[in-house]
Amino acid sequence: MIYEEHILEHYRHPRNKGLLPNANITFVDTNPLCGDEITVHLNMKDGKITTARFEAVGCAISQAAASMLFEQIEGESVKDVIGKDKQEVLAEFGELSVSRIKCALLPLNAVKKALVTHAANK
Amino acid sequence: MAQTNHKEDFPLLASGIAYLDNGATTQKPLAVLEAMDNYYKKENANVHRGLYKLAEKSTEAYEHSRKVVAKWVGKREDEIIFTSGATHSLNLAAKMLEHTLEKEDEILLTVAEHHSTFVPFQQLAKRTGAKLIVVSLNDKTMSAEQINSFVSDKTKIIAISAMSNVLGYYIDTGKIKKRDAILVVDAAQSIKHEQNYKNADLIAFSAHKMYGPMGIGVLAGNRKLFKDAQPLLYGGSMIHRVTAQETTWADAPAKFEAGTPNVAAAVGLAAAIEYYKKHQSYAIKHEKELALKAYEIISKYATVHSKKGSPILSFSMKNVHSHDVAQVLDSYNVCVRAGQHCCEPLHDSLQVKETVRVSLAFYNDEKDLEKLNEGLAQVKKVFA
Repeated sequence: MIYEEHILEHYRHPRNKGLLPNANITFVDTNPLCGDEITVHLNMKDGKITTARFEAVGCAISQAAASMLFEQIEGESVKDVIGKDKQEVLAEFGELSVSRIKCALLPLNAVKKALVTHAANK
Repeated sequence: MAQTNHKEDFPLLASGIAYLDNGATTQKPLAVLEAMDNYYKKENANVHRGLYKLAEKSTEAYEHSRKVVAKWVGKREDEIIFTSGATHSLNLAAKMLEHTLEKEDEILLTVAEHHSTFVPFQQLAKRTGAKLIVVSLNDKTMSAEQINSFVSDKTKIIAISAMSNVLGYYIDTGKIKKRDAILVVDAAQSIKHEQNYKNADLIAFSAHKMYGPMGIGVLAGNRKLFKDAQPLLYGGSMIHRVTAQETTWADAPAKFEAGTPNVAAAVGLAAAIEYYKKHQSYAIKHEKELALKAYEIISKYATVHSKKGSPILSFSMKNVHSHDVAQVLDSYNVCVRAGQHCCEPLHDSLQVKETVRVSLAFYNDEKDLEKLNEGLAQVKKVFA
């Protein structure tokens, strides 16, 4: 069963969801399959992520994945987050089909793209 | 007495699956699979080339398919172009009409068009400097009258689907007052229900949405239009003469069929037409009845965007994402589509991000709808 209780719990009560005014990075990414959109807000200091917030409307999988990820990355180094293995995210879920893997990885990919784009623009 | 369990004709449905994603593609009857198998086993050779008997057999099979299609849609054989599918047909249609456009001319389409109409004609407008006029929906539906109110002397192309692949409404294209415009009809969803589009100049459809194979479609048109139009693809079979510096084109339809065609799929399309013709009057009546029942079931759980009686039903469940609905339904062996169904402008206009879509075929039955009902009840339970 994909919708295990901890997934539904994160979906119903997402952590780290909301606005972050004057964030160091604000980045938007979408999943063209369904049009789901996620906005990433990150504050950083000394190469570490100090605050991470997201705004998104989406399916239970992408919302739960975002909630778990954004809770986790606060305090982690930018380098570690850019290098984060997708299996770390997927391990939280039961068996996901190819299309649902895209839902689960949307938040991680968005965060990575946000950090890489930010570094490139510096 | 007419046969009632048509599922038996479709090998894939033997598993007991409730297949309700027929707007995406339909399943194929054994008659189609056998016709294609037979072609590869007994008639396979390249067409219009070899001088040996086998090659002639293959050419005959291909051209016979064209004859079957022509008769079915009320056209001459040289007015039928085989393509890889409706998307290819619509891209070809846009290319064919490029030479007719000047700056400030207008291309009319509706907000409900599938991306396969929307994008080729939007890009055509960009290339030529023509204006793209997008007709909006009226109470989640569209009519010939609504379209007519946007047609002017400047309208050169009207490109519309006769049946929306999301909302399922049907437009009587015969009532479109096109003036001097060329009317392009995307009949991908409607071809099962209606084969004659007398008012249309170009008609596009795929075989795979009407019980035929994937990889083949049709652009039906008229000889005058074909004569002046430029091809989309260049290659073998489509030329009259090639010199080092210049090429002249073969006559239509060859001019628009560059390269080796999908002959087996053309044979499959003809077999699908022959098969469906036997069942069509039952199919239309049965689908209508089923559509009403489906509406009744779905509206217990969701807001249905389609009108009552539509064979394509798109809906939204409160606080549940379409992917999650489809996922739970899948665990009940019910196949539905979730997302934007290649219609982003339409979803923007409906002010919803995505929808769930149930689309019917004539082999569906009440058992499929019972499974849908059980599945939707479970969605409500999980996400309530």
